[in-house]
Amino acid sequence: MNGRRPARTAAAGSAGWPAAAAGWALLSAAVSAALLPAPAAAHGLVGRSDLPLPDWLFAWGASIVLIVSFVGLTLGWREVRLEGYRWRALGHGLSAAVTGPAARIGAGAVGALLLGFVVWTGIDGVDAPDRNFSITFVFVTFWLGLVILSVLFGDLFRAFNPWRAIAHVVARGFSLAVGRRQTAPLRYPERLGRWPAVAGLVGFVFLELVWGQTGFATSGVTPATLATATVAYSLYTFVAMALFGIERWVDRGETFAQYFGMFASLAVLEVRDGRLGRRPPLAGATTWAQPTGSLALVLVAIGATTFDGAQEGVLEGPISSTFQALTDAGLTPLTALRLTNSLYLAGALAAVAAIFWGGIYGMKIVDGRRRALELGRSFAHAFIPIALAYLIAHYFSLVVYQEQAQFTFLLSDPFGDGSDWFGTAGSGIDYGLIGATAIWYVQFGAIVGGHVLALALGHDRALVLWKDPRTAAYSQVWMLATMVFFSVLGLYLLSQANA
Amino acid sequence: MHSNATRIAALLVTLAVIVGLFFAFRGPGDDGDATTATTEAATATTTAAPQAGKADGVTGSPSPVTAIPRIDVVDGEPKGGVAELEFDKGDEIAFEVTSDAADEVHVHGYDVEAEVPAGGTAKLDFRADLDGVFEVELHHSGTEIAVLTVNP
Repeated sequence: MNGRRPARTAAAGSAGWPAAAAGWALLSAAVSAALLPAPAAAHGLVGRSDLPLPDWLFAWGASIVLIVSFVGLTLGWREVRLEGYRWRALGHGLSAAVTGPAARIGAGAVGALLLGFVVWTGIDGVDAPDRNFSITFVFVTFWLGLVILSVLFGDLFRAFNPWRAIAHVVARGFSLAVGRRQTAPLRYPERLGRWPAVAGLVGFVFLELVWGQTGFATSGVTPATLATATVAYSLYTFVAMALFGIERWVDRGETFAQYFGMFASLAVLEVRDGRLGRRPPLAGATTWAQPTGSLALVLVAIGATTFDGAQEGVLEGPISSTFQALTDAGLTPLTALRLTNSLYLAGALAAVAAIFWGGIYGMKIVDGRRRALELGRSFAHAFIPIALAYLIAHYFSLVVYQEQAQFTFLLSDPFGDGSDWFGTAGSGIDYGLIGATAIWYVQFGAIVGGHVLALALGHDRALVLWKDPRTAAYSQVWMLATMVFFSVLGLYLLSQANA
Repeated sequence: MHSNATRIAALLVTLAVIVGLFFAFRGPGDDGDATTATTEAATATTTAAPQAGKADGVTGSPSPVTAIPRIDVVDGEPKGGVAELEFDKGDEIAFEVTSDAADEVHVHGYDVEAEVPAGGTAKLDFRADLDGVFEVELHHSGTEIAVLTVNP
């Protein structure tokens, strides 16, 4: 069957369950029995979960992170390298091809069509999440794939952003109809900064990791729910764009533009004033975190992956006992599970924020004159590589396996109705493509590599703030401790996942 | 400028030494090399029976003669909770499922399926050629009955 089978929906029968206390007790017992063991297919899509990172690799990872940090700190770099970077335009021909009207219209059209197709397959397609185009496309190809593409090729999503493209077409049409250009009726309040995007990110993560767990462990978000959420988010975005102006909203409030843009700030390619150019790697991140709310965006990105990783291992026990306590208290299993996961997601976000602020308050020892918030914002961008490392380490195998589905049966049979548009409907996921050992090395490499990049960004900023390399190095002891903490936490979560 | 170049060189050398040490002394648990994997695969047939005995957490009446793990499903639930089956890559995976209701046993990832008649036994026997953690469930009821772990 090539992995193409309807996912189970264990909780589907809960609606019609008799409300008698004995009945609930039985059901919750059954549900917790299903919940207690490792939710093997953690994302409801692939039939294989990663093996826990072996202890020896964990130990090596943690040691290398520590040694590299120590060496980096003592030898460090003594002059600012990334900050105030130079952007160099690339050749006209290439630039015109990438940023010209044809490319802009083409990319916008592709984005808009895919948005429409997600809603269409979500509503009309089969309920099974693993056989419906929409789920894999949104949660894997779009959400994870675009992060990688953004790091490699820059802010691609800006061109493909379907809401931006549609809004521009509508605005142009409206202007033609009324005979004059429209201006936004409201000024975007600058003190809001990126906070609308932070709220949007929390919402997306909630949909993916909390709301979607309706089938207890395997079914995930249903295509219909995803379609509804997509339509709701689109309406909200269009209203916001109409109020504050399209580009203004994309630059600050639009969740996905901000999320992918954050990772794109690490990229070498950057479009500036309509021209394609290049900059030193990582350098773009140095100017990224200026708007309010940027720090929150980075921390939520790290916290969400932390929660997802922890629920497969470290937090599995606590989650099932909290769930048990809540069902014992009389909540329905579905409500209890969502409430439990909400609590632990909030807890993970709070924990990540606490670790970060711990490092920042430590840094105040070096320089008591600077406010903690100022310091926190100054170093927010240094954690983008850690957010990236967490994503790669946690989702690498999911992307490798699920993209095979995306480009085989989900491409030929996106509705799951048995059609075969391109003759690839019969193919499935080859789980032998990469093995556990390869996945371990990628996870290990992502965390260690992300740590080194974070270290570089932190060092550079410390030199800008304190000029004197000695003070900068002292300040970095704290920043470094925070980064080491995150890197080792990342490795630890991987070593406990599905153990 | 010169001192910076020296520092970068020192950093690179340190990294190279660490990486070198890493590959020289990587843990005893690592047998992911292609050569060891092949050796294991070659000896898999002879060691299959004792290897299968590694599976633990399986209740029922374990017969010491066969040492094939058995999962008993009663009232739609695996007796003694979800069984944990653990094998090494290249092993012969063998286990049995009994059920009081007719269903179909499905091993995710491997996509191995076996019918189990009401009151009967399904015997599963296949080679562990994929590593990872896989779910074993009853197709019709959707109940997870075992977690299959295949170590590389």
